[in-house]
Amino acid sequence: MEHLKEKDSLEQDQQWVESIVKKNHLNRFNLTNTDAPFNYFESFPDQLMSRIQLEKNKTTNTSAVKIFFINHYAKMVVAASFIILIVGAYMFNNTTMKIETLTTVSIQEIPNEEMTNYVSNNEAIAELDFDLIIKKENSSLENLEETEIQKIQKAIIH
Amino acid sequence: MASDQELIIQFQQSLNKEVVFTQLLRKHQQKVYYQIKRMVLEHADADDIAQLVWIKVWNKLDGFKMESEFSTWIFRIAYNETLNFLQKQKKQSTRLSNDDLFTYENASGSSDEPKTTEIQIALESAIKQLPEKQRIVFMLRYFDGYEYEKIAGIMGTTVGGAKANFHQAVKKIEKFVKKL
Repeated sequence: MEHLKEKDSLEQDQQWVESIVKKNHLNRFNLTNTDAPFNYFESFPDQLMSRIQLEKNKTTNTSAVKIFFINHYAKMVVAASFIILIVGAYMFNNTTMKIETLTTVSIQEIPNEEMTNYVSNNEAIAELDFDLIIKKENSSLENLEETEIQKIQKAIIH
Repeated sequence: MASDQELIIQFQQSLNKEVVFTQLLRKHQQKVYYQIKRMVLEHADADDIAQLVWIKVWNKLDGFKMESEFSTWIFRIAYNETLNFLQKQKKQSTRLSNDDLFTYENASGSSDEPKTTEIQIALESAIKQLPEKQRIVFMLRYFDGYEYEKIAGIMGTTVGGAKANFHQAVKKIEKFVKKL
């Protein structure tokens, strides 16, 4: 620890190293390990900037693809919601219309003329139905036995 | 010449970032390269790492808050990238191999006085065999003349830790060279 305290300054540290290994050997080591090919530092910025540009393009392409996919899905979602909205609105309108017609129309509000027209138009059908019933009843009366007819007659007289 | 701080502000505010970035790059590229080269020794590796470092700087410079010096920040990125590289290349690390030892022993045994080349080989071997942290501290302190505070900032360690690493590195070199 004392040694560490003593060797706090840069100069002292360097002197300590140089007391072990000669300075020229250290410098030679530094030189051999800090050399670079000719013109390396001149060409490095251009090389690096073109690589950065390349990486930038890659990222923009990937994000563009992502945006495209997001848009595609977004389009699908928007289209689906539109369809749901239109169908929903249509169904809602239909039900309210029905409710409106059912609630607002009452017998009192129907004009007399319309009612007469309806009755006269449907009179034939009503009569037809009535006739059918009578015929049916008659046919069933025809099938009755005499004893049953007499019973009915008695009941009517009484 | 504009200071780092001015250039960074220009970069963060400018649309033409390439021009400002190139100025920063030209200002610091050599020191960054040498720091890496001294650790990995091969130019091709140093070049690859240096490119990775500068790409990181490009990507992160917009968010740089100038809480530390720009040079400390970039050297820290370089240090981390170099360590990552060395960890990946652990098998082919620059530590002293058996072959190196053989060469060194043969060379030193050939004469009573060690020759310059032998000392050179021994010194290189000694530095190369140091653990990465000790080696980088030794380089930054002895060759670059950085203060311990800056070294600690680069390595993400304490000043005491940086001093201890330097001390151990010098002791190991001394032990190795005394064998001559």
